[in-house]
Amino acid sequence: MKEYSRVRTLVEKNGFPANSIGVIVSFYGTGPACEVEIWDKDMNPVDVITYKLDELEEVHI
Amino acid sequence: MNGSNSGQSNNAKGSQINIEQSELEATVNNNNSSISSTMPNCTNASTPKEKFINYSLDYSNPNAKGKAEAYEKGLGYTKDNAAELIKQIHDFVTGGNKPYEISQSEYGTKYKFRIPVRGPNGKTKNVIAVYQIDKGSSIPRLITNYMEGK
Repeated sequence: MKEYSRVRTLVEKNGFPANSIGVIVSFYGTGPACEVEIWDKDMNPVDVITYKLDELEEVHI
Repeated sequence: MNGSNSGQSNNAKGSQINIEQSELEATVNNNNSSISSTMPNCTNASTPKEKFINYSLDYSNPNAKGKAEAYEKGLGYTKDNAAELIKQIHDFVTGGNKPYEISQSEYGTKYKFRIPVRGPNGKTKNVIAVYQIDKGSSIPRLITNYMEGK
């Protein structure tokens, strides 16, 4: 996974269920975590949530 | 926030510390921006053009087409006139305006700003801009931006 990869979340977080779709917008240099811009069903961004990398899987398009 | 199929629940946004998230992230959220603190080192914040040219305004990026379309239809911004959009966001943040939400994790802190941006089409819309400070760092950097709503 890299910056701007499309990802699927594997866990519920901050009210966003597992299987939410989003894009990685930054990585942390301090550990295995990143910020994900979460989308709604129309691919509009609705929030930015911190995930550990093992809580995500890449969606290949 | 649009509560469609992404399934976000009504308790997704608390007005106090979000206990459920405490393992990874603690969130303070106030949509009225009554958070008392500004972002540390806000005057030195970095607002890279790349985040607009290669993502938010990039129609060729399959993960950004909707955002680019929203910016163009809503405010009239494209890659060609991105400088004015970037300036308005950067000036708002470096001007000491307060974020509406601060989220802290073991990896760093992020700050969410709701910024009224005026477009070349004469309309004004809110833009969400998110800045991040990694733990051990002191300089905030823009990590993403998008138009609120459609």
